[in-house]
Amino acid sequence: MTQIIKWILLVALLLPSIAQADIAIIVHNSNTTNSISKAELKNIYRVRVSHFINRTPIIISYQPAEKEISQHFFSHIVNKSLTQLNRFWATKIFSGRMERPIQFTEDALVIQWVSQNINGIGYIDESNLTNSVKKIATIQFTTENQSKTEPSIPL
Amino acid sequence: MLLQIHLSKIPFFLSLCMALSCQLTLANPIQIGGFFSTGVAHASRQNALLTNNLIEDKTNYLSDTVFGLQLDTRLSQRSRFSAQLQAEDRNNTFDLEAEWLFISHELSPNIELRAGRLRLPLYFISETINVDQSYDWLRPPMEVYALTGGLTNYNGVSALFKHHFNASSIEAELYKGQAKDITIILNSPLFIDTHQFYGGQLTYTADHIAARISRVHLDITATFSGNSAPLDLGEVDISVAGLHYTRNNWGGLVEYGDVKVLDKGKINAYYVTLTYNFAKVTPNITFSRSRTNTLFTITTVQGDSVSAGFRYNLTDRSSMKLEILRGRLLDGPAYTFTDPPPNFDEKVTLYSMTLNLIF
Repeated sequence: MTQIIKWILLVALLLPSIAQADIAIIVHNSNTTNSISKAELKNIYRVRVSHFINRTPIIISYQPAEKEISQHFFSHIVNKSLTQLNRFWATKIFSGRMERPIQFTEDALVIQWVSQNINGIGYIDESNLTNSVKKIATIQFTTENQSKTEPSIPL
Repeated sequence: MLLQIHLSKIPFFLSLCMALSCQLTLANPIQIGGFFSTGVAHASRQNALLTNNLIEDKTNYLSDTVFGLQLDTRLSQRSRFSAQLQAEDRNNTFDLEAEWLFISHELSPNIELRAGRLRLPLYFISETINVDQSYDWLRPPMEVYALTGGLTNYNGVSALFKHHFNASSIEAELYKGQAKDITIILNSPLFIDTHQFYGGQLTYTADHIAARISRVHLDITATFSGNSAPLDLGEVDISVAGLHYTRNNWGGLVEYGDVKVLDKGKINAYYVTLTYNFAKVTPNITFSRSRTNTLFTITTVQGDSVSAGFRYNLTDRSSMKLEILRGRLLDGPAYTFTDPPPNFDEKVTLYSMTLNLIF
C-alpha cells in the first residue's frame, strides 16, 4: 500500500513538469508567409531578420515577462529572458535600427493588433486563436525540452 | 543649475514633427519612447572631469543626468522618420539637442539609406552611448570612447548593408558627412569642424560573439574660443576594433582605438571588460589604458584606469549601477582632469551611482 501511495505521489509531482502548452505564432491574414521555423523566429526576436518573406518590415509584439506563455516563448525559442532582450533591444531601438516592440497584456489584444497590422507578429495560447489572424506555426512546449537561457547577447 | 535650450534648433524640429504628424498620424502613429539616467558622483580631487561632465570633490547630483526622447514613424512601408532629442548635463547646463534626426529608405530588406543628422558609428555602443540601460558599465571607458574628442554625430548620408545567415548576421555601413561640434577642454569650449569626411564600419554578430571594425577619415579644424586663431589639426584617421564574447554567465568585451594625426603622431587606447551575470546582478571590472607619442593633440589622453562596479536590474526596463573608478594621469590633460594637475602621476578615485530607465 505504501508503495502505491509513493507511486501516486511521484506521478502527481511529475504531471506539472510534463504539462504541454501550444503556442501559436500569428501574423496578419494578408501576410504571404505560411510557415516559420524556430530558428527563423529566434532570428526575428534577436533582430537578425527584420522583414517577412514578402519584404514587409516586421514589428514584434510580446507579452509581459511574468506570464507563463512569455517565459516559455523566451526561454524555449529565443533562449533569452525578457530582461536580456529588453537590454539588447534598447541598443537597436535607440540607434534607430529597430522599430519598438509592442507589449500586450493578453492574447485578445495581440490578436486585435495583429489583425489590424500587416507588419505585426505575435505569440498567443493556441486555444485563443481566432480566424481574424493567420497562424504560421505552432510550438508545442513542454518543460522537458525547455532550453536554458543564457545571460547576455553580444552587443 | 542653468537650463539652457538651443531655441534655434527647436522650431526646425517641431515644425518637421508637426508637418510629419499632420500627414501621418492617421495611418502611421508616431511612436514615442525615451530614456533617463540620473545619479550621484563623488571625486577624490577637485576638478575631475569625465568627458564633458565636471565631477568635484563633493557630491555631484547632475553629472550623469541625461534625458532622451525618441520619435519614430513610418512614412511608408519602406521609409521611416526617426529623431532623438537629448538633454544632458554639461557643467550644470542642460542643452536640448537633436542627437540624430534622419529619414531612412530601404532599397531592399538588405540595403537601407539614411540622410540627416546621424550618429558616428565608431564603437560598439557609439549609437547608444547615452542610453545607460543598454550596457553594463556605469560609464563607457573614456580612454577609448573619448578618442573622438566629443564628436558623436554628423550631418550627412549613410548606406547600411545587412545580411543574415542561419544564426549570425553581418552589417556594413558606409557614410559621408560633416560635423560641427562643441566640446569642453581645459574648462574652455572647443569648436570643432571636421569638414567633409567619410568612414565605414563592419559588424559581425552570432549567438555568442560580436566583432566590429570601423574607420573614419577626418580633416579637423579646431578653435578654442571666439578670439583665438583656428588650430588646423589636419588629416586624422580613427580606427577601432572590438570583440564581445559571451558564454554561459561570462562576458568579455575589448575595444582598441587608434588615432593618427598626419605628420604629428598618434594616440592609441584600449580597454578590457569582464562581466559575470547572477540573474539580476552583473558585476563588471574594466581596465583601460591610453598612450600617445604626440604633443600636438587636443584630447591628449595618457593614463590608466581600473573600474569595478555592478549593474542591478530593478525591472525589465530599469537598472541601478554602482561603480568605483581609480584613474592615474601620466601626462597632459587627460579625460579625468579639467586642468593638468600640479604633479603628474596623480591619481583620482570616482565613486558613482546611477539609476537608469527606458520607456
